[in-house]
Amino acid sequence: MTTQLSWQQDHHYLTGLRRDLLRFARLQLRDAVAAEDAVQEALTAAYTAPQQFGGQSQHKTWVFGILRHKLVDTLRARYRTINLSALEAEIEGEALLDDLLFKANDHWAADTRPRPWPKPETALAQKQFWLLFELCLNNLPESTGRVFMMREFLGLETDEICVELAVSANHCSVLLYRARLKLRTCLTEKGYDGEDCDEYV
Amino acid sequence: MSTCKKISRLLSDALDRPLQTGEWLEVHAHLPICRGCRGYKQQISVLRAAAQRVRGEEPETR
Repeated sequence: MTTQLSWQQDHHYLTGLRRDLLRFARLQLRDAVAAEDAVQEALTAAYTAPQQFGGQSQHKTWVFGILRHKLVDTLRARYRTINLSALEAEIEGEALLDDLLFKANDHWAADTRPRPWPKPETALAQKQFWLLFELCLNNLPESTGRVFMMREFLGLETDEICVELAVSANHCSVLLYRARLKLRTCLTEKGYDGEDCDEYV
Repeated sequence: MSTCKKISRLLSDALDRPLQTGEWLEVHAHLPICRGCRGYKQQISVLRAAAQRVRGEEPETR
């Protein structure tokens, strides 16, 4: 199936695509201007490449792929390695979070025990979820946030990340664990309860 | 005895690498008896789905 309208002329599609690309770039780069530039470059590259697509979802994946490559290059240039002493400090600073979440016997404390959120289809349609997700991502400590984003947003394998940042495999997986634990705790603390189902993005 | 701290770490690891048999058994012996770890597992699966959406992919529904 080929689309009648070329994607360059489909304003509704373009607006949504641009918004999604910007969110992706902004989260990675933590810099609105650099994010705008990266998205503009990716869209320009997409405009000039003659491609035929079966539909918008394939096209979107392709443009995201272009942007992803740009972001990987930018981040590689920006960060050669992680500062190991800063990393140790980050991991040591985590004792406070553990005290909040776990009892002395290392089981969940009753008042902070994780309770299920809505199903992904529901959660991802909520404005509240995305606001808090972005806020909490930006609250992650530097190295923790970087490793999480390389893994989850750039889709790199853990081995690649360890090599890239010159940290041990154990450090990588600890950082990913701490990132997920912090994110879910932050969303909960900021009041994500998954109950604003009438407010869709 | 498996602690929630250990199980939650393994549940996170499982998103990045296949668990070894012993680890897998430990997790699956613990989950049925622990609501907190089930809640945690569900929450990190939502975080994974959100990340897939951010990078322009449709989350797998499980």
